[in-house]
Amino acid sequence: MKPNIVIVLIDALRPKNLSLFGYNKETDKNIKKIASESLFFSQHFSTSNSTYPSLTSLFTSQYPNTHGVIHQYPYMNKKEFEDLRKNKFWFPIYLKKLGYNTFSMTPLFLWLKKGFDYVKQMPKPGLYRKITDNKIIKKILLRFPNFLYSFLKKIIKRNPSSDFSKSKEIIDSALFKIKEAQKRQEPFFLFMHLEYTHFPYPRVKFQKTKGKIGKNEILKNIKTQSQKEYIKKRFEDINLDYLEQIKTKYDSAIKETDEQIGRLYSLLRKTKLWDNTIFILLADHGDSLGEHGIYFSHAGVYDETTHTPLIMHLPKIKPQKINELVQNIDIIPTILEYMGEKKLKSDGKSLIPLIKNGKPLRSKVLSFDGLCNDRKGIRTKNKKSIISKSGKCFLCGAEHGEEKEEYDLKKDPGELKNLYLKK
Amino acid sequence: MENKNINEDKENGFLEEDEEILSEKEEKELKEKLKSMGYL
Repeated sequence: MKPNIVIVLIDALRPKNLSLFGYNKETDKNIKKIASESLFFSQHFSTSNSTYPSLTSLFTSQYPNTHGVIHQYPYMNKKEFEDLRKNKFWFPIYLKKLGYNTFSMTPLFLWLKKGFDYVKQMPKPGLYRKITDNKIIKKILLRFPNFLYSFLKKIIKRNPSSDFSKSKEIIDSALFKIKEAQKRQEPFFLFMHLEYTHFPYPRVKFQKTKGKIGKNEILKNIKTQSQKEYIKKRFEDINLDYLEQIKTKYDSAIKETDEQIGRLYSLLRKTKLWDNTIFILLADHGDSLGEHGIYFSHAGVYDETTHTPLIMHLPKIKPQKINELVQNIDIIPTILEYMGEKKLKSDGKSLIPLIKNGKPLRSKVLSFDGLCNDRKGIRTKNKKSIISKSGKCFLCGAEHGEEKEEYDLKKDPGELKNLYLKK
Repeated sequence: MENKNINEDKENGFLEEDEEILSEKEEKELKEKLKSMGYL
């Protein structure tokens, strides 16, 4: 029987907060265990800092400028929709043709739900979301002081991110579908997008401790007025006062999600499905928790937002840690080659030669910023170049970076000293 | 970066005519939606 395929995509999960990558807190007990029994890619970079372009890259195996979706929804332009329609390969549809049962245990919308037999229903957007999704209202809210935002929230009484499904709910649905598919003895493709690690991590339980860096101290260093208002609103959304508290809540969200991944892994092991299941765990993008002056968003193409974990279990392939550069567009060609399917001509490269012979496939990786008009980052193992032609952030209105940036990642892994300015 | 597009390569076509990622109708609806929200 064809192998089952499980892809677990964790939203905004950055390696910096995983002990697998050296973090001093164990937020990822189960993820670490799975990594030790799989192929663990330590240098995996997303093609975008935003969910829509990144996921479209995953399923088409194309860079955003090839598949068309460069910007995050709703910031896309007409041409992007037209280019998207020209794509001729979409992984879930391809699997359906191969006879797979295709399940998406997450409320995907628009084109991302194409090819799935089952898509978890998405809650209808509430009044708050309907109002604030409007571009003009968004601009007004960024320009005016925080009291207007508080007032609006009080009237509508709706948390802006309550659309997120709890990791437990998603895993519960997944476990049910796995058992159902197992009874039918048909191969399945299960896709999960766990959103609980995305700011403001709604309904995540965590221990609230005191912090050192408060809202006012952060705001003192912010030059752009609209970004100041944005940050104030982010604090309002999460109902916390200190940066450290927000970081602790993020860690707790990762831990909660990790526990649920542990449940999924246990079932796959217990039922022996693991022995015939391709299991992929990755993130769509990372997150910035104050680094580079970017607070609580995944804007910019610094490593905090583009470097993401990638764990791949291919049955009968020996576990190993791989430290070569890879991208999310390489995942589908790898699965197809592993399954002996037709070779896909795309921007992505199969990682099978790298896995078998250790031969590096990429000397550089490319990431697009989906949250401004035009910014790209090109990264080798030791060097990063960022070019911004029009870099004003769609979310907060600030410029996150210079027109040209260059970093020596060996000496400066935090990307703090822009070498281009010294030239 | 060269903006190559595999879709020009007909041999590589995995989707049939009626299996578009986004149908003409959906594209139109999305454009209308974004227009009403002020993005287009």
